[in-house]
Amino acid sequence: MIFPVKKTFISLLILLFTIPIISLARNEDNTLGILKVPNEGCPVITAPGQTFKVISEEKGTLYLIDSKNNIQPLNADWKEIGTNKWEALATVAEKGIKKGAFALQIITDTQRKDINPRCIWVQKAFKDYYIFAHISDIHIRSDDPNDEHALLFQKVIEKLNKSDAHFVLLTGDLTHDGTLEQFNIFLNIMNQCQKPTFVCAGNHDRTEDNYEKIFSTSTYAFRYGKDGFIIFDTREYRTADSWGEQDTFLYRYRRELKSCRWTFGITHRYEPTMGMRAQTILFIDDPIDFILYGHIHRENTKEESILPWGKTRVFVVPAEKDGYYRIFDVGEGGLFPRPIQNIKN
Amino acid sequence: MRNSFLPLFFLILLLFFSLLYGTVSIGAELPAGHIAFLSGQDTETYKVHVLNLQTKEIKQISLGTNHGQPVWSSDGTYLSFSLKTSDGLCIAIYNYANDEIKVIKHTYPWNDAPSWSADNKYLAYVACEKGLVDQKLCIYNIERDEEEFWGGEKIPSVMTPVWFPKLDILNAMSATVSQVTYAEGFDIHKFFEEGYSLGVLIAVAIIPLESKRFSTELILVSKTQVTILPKELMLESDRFEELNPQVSPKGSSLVFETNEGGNREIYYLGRRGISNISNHHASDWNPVWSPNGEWVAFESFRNGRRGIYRVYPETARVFPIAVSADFDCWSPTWAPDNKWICFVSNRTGTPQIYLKHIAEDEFIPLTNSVTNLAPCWRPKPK
Repeated sequence: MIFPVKKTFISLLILLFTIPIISLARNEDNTLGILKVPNEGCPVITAPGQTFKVISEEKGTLYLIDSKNNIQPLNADWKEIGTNKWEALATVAEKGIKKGAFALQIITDTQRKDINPRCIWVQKAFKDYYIFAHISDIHIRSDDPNDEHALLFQKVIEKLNKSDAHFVLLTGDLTHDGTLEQFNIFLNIMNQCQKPTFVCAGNHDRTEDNYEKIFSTSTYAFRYGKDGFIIFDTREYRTADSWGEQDTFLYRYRRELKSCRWTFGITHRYEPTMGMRAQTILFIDDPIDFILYGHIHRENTKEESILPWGKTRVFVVPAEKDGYYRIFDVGEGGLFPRPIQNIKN
Repeated sequence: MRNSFLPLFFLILLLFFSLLYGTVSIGAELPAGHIAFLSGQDTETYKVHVLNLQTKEIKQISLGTNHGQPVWSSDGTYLSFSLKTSDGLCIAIYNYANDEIKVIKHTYPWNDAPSWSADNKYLAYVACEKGLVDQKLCIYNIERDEEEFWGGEKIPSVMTPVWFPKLDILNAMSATVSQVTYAEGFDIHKFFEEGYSLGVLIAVAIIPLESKRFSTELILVSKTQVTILPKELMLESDRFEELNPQVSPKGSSLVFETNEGGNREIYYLGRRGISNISNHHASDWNPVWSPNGEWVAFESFRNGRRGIYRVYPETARVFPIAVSADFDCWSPTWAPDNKWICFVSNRTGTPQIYLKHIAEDEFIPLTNSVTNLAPCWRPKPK
């Protein structure tokens, strides 16, 4: 009899501690705190019994918190991967977990606390057929939440909430000037989305390292059932240069996703001048099947429907700032784009 | 008496094995010299810096933004790199001794991938408006301050031009002229004439195929002549994408990357023909010749992480240089003495420049700030 009473007491204690913790999500200026990945722009879609990676400034104990503030601890194996950089492989429990959105909380070994909301999405299983939405070039250009572009973005998010899409890809130029204020407006609206939201950086999001402060990483990958998605960064003047770490990540992700049914490249832009190493990894040596991007504020022409290296099919969505979005169906036959929609029509 | 010889015996044995395998640390003295590299928070803020290994003094070149990989002239006098100015992406020439910098006035708005001729009189680079499909081979005459476009009218779009440091290739071509097939319209006599007087380059050509896709081929270029490397040497090259040719310091052989075999490998083209010298199911890329032409350093994922290895091209024997299961190492550049390499590693989480003796284990950090990339070791000033 003692054990259940003790367990309830501990749960209550955790809950009491959690209520103030939730208000501590991210830093005051909405930049990421201790927990870096996953976050609202780089979430995890998982299922019971599956594992996912967590990047944090410190190691500690991880918890999943649902919308009713129910807390579930996670098993996690930590490894130091750099100065103030720890990586955990966390496992979702096989039983007792409901599907839906969860916040991820860490209580570090030094008793620091942090929480990233709507960054873990648990579903019972992955289907072979699924749907996703693609928007790009949102260009939040003011720190006023009632700005025209912010209101339009809100309407598109509301529309996507009602859609049958399982997740949403937002491919860069999230803001117009890359200020923290504009990122805050973007983040607050994006957080109204009731589906997982995956973002990448665009050329307009480049002011100091504000994008990294808000979303941590601009190169990552995830699996959705049988398929793989590689999100990468082509936002710079020299798109995807060959000097930094990105090529290492791209090669590793491409290799990890080699067995996938379909592999998607998700980025802000494709330029023929982009780093040749990135092109060999993604489009030449082991070509990905599809690339989705924005940047040019129009749909790709028929001539632009395949990358010059001959294998990767292209789908460009016109700018969300003009009201556009597109939904795709994915199945055994491939990627099937539905007609481009405009919220203004 | 017998016992007093025992320590001496073991000492001799230790010395013998250390000389044989070169793996026993003998505390090699740190090398002198200069290393140019990129430093900054991101691509926009990257600036070329030059580190003096002896004094630890660092010079920063502040002109322009978006600096690209620095490349030393073979006599170590000049450093060239691309940078963004109001005119576009331009090539800059920096004189390290007198701290003077000159930005070339270009014909085209996008100029990148500079390569010095062996006599340091010319700088080759690609120049274009769009990229990939319209890249011209531009040769800048340092003395005359003039740009010229090489390869004649038939030259396709090109990438990564590299000069032949010596013209042994012309002698080899001369000896085999009747046995191989050159491109249609290629005037080999004119090529020899121009080659011996002005020099010859190798580059990657982007060839549009009938299927509306591109393939790459290695090409030889002189002032008005261009030819694809003979098909007798490059078997079935139209099925694969060759990239990144690097000519040996002696000019008699070259290495390049190709995806023949299903993943990226390093191939060696020498007097005995062509061979795969990296041969692993993980990708191998970015070959870099040691200054004495004996070794080729390259990057490989064969250990899981990105690491740096060296291969002896004649036998294809591979040795690790900077490899770890916990972090990545890339962008190797050789010291003039062939014993040290400088490279980038994310060992502490952020990419930094390190130094390592090729036969020892110690990683010597050279930088510890923001992000530092693309090192290039200054050749010994002549």
